[in-house]
Parts: sequence; C-alpha cells; structure tokens
Amino acid sequence: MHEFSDYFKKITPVVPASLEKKVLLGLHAVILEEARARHQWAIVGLMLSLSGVAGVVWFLGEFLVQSTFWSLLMLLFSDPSTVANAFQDFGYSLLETLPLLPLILFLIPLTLLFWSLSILFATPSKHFSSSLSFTH
Amino acid sequence: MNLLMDIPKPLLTKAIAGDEQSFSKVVQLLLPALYQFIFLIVRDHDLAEDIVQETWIKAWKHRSRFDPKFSFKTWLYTIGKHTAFDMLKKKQPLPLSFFSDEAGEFSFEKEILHEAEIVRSLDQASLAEYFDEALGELPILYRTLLILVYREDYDLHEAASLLGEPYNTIKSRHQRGLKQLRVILERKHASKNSPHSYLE
Repeated sequence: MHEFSDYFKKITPVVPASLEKKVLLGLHAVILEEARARHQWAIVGLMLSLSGVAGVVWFLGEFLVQSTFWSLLMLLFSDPSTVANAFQDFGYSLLETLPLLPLILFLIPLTLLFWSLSILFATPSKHFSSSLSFTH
Repeated sequence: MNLLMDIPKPLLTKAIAGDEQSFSKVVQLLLPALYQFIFLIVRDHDLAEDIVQETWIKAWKHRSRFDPKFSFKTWLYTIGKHTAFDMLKKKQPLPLSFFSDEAGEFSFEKEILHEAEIVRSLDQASLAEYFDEALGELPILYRTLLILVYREDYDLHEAASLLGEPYNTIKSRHQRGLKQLRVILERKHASKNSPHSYLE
C-alpha cells in the first residue's frame, strides 16, 4: 500500500532543458548591472576625492607650510646631522606639533580616492557566462 | 525536512560570499527541486520559469541576508513562494479569498482527518491516475502547504516558518487542505465510475 506522501512524490514535472541557461543568463545580466553601477559610483568618488585632495592642499597648504611642524620637518633635509644627534627629541617634537585636523581632512579624500581606484580597477567577473559555455 | 537536498557548507559559504562559480553550482544543484516546487504551486510552465529565474536573482541580490544557521533550501523556497504569489497576483487580479483560508484563522477543527484515511478510502490505481489533477484544483494556499509537507518533507512547524504564518493557522489549514483534497478526489472517483463517464 502506498503512503499518502508517495502520491505527491510521484508527480515529477519535467524541468525545461533551457531553464539553467536562462537563470544563469539572468544572473549574469544582474552582475553586469551591479558592476556598471559600482563603476559609476567609483567615477563619482574619484572626482569628489580629487577635488577634496585639491581643496585640502589649496586651503590648508599655506597653514601647513607656516606651521612649526613643517619647520621641524624641514630640519631633516637642512640639518640631518643635528636631527640624527637628537633623534628622540626630534621625534617627540614632531608628534607634539603634528597638525591633526588638517591631516584628518586630508586623509578623508585620500581614502575615498583609493577606494574609487580599487573599484575602478576591479574587473567584473565573467563567471556566470563562462559557466554557460562550460555546461552547454 | 529532506536535508539531502541541501548543499555542502563550504560551497554555500563561498556562494554567499559572492563567488559566482560557487553560486552557479548552487543554482545547478537546487534548480530542479525549486522548479518542481514552483510549478506545482502555479501549474504553468512559462510562469514557473519566470518565477524561478526571479527567485535566483533575488537570492543573489539579497544573499547577505541569508543566515547560515538555517537551511539555504528553505530560504530559497521562501523567496520562491513569495515571488510566485506576487506574480500570480500581478498576472491576473485574483480575489482576496484565493490567498486566504476559507474558515479563518481560529476555526476549531472538530474532526481530525489523517492522511492515511484518504489513501484507504479510495481505490489506489485510480487515486494515482487523478491525484495530480486533484492537487491542481486545490486552492493555492492549501496546495502550497500540502506540497511542503508531503512532497518536501517539512513538518508543520517548519512549514509555518517558511510560509511566515503562526503554527496554529498552518495546523488548521493543513486539516482543511486534506479535507478539501479528499472531497475533490472522491468527486473525481465518482465521476470516473459513473455510467455516464463512458459516454464522455
């Protein structure tokens, strides 16, 4: 005697042969669309970050050049022997005079710049289409 | 639930992380089962194909929402069921009753029908002959639930979770589904055995 569930399991609709190809093609189209959107965002990010870097250099460049930090930093090139003799004190002085705010303001567009470049250079994968040629 | 139909964990982990090769393997593994599940709900090959494609696209787009503690197949079936119901509603404006229980959520079932009684009460040869047809005549909510329970081997708690409804609702819907299926089967049985059926 058959179990009740056997009657359900005996019904086996035929899966169309073209379905797998259709699904993989659909997924491939979605991935390309996602890559295109990411690419567009990366270009926007790149433009914004370049403007940001330029803006920070333009507005804070003069402030940085006139700061004590910059004068101390220049000692590295103008008087390296003195710096070498008092390297520890020199290091502490550099840390003390570090212009944190301009540095953070500079790092924000720089991070965005690297993120945008990494997205731009990441090539969209073509696996869904290559698996199609492999299986069919 | 049939765990054999689920997929290897390392493959699933890579697929969920966005590895396209692994995801396409997952598609190949679960595609037949998903298609058959969807087809039995909607009873239309073209529509079932569209739903299956849409289900996989949604699964890819929302893969980060999948919780690996649960079964991927169950998650996929949940998306498939929602997509199927949405597409059916879009395809033709169906009455609300098509998607709701006839007796309401809190109906009290006086008589419990066991599935074995359906098998016992009818001739097995003829039962096999028109079982699929009878299932197709069952309202979609009952059909979906009975397919999950008797074809996909989900218990009522799992089916309730997959369908996103309270256990008690599913429990009474299960009973009503079985009773309605029996009525349809008996009607088909009677019409096949009536002397007029030879004239048709």
